[in-house]
Amino acid sequence: MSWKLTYLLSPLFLLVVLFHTNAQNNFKKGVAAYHQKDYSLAVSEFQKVLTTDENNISAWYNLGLSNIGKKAYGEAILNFEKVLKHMPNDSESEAKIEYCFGELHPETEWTPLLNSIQSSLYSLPSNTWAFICVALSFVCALGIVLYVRQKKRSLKVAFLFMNLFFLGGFIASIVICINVNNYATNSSYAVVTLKSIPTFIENSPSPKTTIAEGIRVEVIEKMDDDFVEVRTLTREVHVVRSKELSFI
Amino acid sequence: MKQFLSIYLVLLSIITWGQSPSVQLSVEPKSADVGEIITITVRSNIQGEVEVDNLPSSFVHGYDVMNGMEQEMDYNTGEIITYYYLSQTGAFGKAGKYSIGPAFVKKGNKTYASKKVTIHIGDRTQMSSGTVTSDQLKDPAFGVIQTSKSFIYEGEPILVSAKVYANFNPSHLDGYRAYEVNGAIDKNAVGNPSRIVVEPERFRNKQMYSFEYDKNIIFPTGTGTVKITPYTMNLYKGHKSFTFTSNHKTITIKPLPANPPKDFIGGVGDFSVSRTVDAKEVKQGDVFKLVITISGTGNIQNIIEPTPKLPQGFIVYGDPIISENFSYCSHGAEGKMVFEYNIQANVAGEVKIPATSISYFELNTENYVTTKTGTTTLNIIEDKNYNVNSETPQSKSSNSETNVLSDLRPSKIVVKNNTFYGTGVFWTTITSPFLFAFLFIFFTKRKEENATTTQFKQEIKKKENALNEQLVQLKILVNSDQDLQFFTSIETSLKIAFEIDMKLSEDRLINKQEIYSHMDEKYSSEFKTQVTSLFNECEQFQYGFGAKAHNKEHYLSQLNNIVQQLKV
Repeated sequence: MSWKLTYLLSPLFLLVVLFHTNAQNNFKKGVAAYHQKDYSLAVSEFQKVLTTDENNISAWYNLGLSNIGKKAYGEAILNFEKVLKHMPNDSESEAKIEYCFGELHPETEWTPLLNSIQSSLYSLPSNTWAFICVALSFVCALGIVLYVRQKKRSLKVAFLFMNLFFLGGFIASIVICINVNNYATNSSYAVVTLKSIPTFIENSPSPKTTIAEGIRVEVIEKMDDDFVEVRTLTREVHVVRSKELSFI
Repeated sequence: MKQFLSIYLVLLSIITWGQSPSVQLSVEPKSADVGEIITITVRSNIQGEVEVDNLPSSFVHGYDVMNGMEQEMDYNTGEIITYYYLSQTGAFGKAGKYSIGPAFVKKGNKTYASKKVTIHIGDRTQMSSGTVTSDQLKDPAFGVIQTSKSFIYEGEPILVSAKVYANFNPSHLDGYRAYEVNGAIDKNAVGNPSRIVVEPERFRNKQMYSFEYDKNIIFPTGTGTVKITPYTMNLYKGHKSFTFTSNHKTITIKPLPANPPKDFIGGVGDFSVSRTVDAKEVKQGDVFKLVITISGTGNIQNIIEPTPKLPQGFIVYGDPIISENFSYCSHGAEGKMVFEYNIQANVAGEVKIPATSISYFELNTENYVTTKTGTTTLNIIEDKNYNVNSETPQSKSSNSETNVLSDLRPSKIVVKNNTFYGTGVFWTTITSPFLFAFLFIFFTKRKEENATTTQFKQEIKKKENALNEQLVQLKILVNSDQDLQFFTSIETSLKIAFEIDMKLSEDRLINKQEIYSHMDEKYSSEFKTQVTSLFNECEQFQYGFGAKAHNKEHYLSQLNNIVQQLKV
């Protein structure tokens, strides 16, 4: 039986190893192409890495740099936003987006999605926050037992305050955990990577105005398969074609 | 000496005769509303016939005409100069931009002219006042605070004035304590503060006299609700005076929208920008002047300097020289701010200076508006001897791009997907400690309660045994002559029986009072009489009133009867 299982799993294992080696090769090729200033090749190689390994932050970052080399600033902003989505406190990526945005819109200031407190909290993945929740749940449970069992009034009061503190921490960690997970999984933001995209009035095929390259928009509602309602930094609401947006 | 004196006299006469005639035309304020009193003054060091040309037809002459002379010392020459002036008040009946002058002074055959003066007349600012109470209306005079707006944006000016209504035609006022806007430090008088115009006005179907006083344009700071404190004044009609305090008024200051443009200069109002350079052609390494002029109406006095965008190889020397030329009117500060930058050109060739843009908050659209100048082309003549310290635009540009592109991440950083949060295991793991804690508390509490109950039962059982022993002892004592012991045992048995009935687990004998109170609550009066009588009998015997020996069985049966009724 065990031999049969080994026979069945070995091709799968080989396939995984092959993919991994290929991804590694593509990554190296991308780095080499980048150093030779062949940015188009670098972009193509890093994109290949990301098709097999979407969570490779270095590949997203390097792809962003390669796009800067190609002067495709909208694409570069998208790539660095992807890095920020996984590592919200990556100040280098923020600086790169600021640079790209400044190249596209010198008169407007780019603001990150998260404030400094959020980016510090969200820099820990939801798994870590989940383990913090578990640890705090044990501490809180122990605290409740100690509080109830304690006969001495002064110690009872001390345990009560400790419990309130840890209970607050426990609830906060659950809330953060939920938010971190939502931030990491929801595609509620998108970047315009084309030179400009037309926007539409609801149920009207004629373009209203345009949104320029590099602008980040918040997706308010998916209207149907083709159109989404988005909000820009300046709080203007537009209807755009979803295929013309690159979701973060 | 004679020679020296003659030279001195010649020089003095040249200075005296050489003093150039001057005619100055001024209008105060330079910006006013329709109907607002303005003063036109002609001042000259020549005495002659004065005439002001170009007075628009919409200008209505006032009754105040003043003329006179004043003397000033010229501190450069030490000479005393006599100036003759003529002032005329009036108001414009139509909004617009008017050019007044020149003013002419005719002396003999000669006529001397002044420069022209431009004045902006805006539409009359609508003012709103706070509510007037019925008590105020009953007073001979009352005051309200008038404001041009109730809601303003941060940085937006607001026109505030004290409006006074009186039943009588006031002759004069004193003891005025001005209103104050909390947190506002920038307060500027508008119009002619020394001039009060009393007009008849119908207010709430009542014919009254009214006038505006202490009109200021105020630039409040901060956001939120701001209170304008009341003002106080004594209003006179001849010798009679009436003192009153006005009501207060609140205004709301809204913050400007978030994310202002990078080139936001802090301006709130309506502005424009223009730019000039003092030379179109400069030598490499030379310094030229770039002058940016921002003009408009609003909070122009508080704007921050614009940042000129310069090509690579251009260096700004020091801070810009700022010259202000604005006046306060009912719409804010109106005029211009001039920023003069000294710039060194380090590159040669034809260089285009990018447009300078500024952004300000426009009140009509309630949005940030960006306006910019045109581009300027400079021809910079190459100087081969000039040592270029700074980098060329190309090298700088490529360097900046190299800086951005230099930090590739060669090693792999992989972020793992969430595998734990949200799963059943996660929710079970965080809820189970609480569940275990509550179960633990529940079971330990129950265990403790059981232990207490067992102990109690044991105590009661012990007492029951003691009662039984006492009853057996009593049966023996019935036939003995140990009467004292018998009655003591009867009393003890009774007390134990009640302790059991009362479920007293404590190791003590209860007193009779407790027993009587217990009986009051639980048993009939008949039963209580029975118990009381037995206790009394025992007491009587114990303290010398001994019972007969033949009564002992009766007492024992009484005790048994009581014990049975107690169901012990």
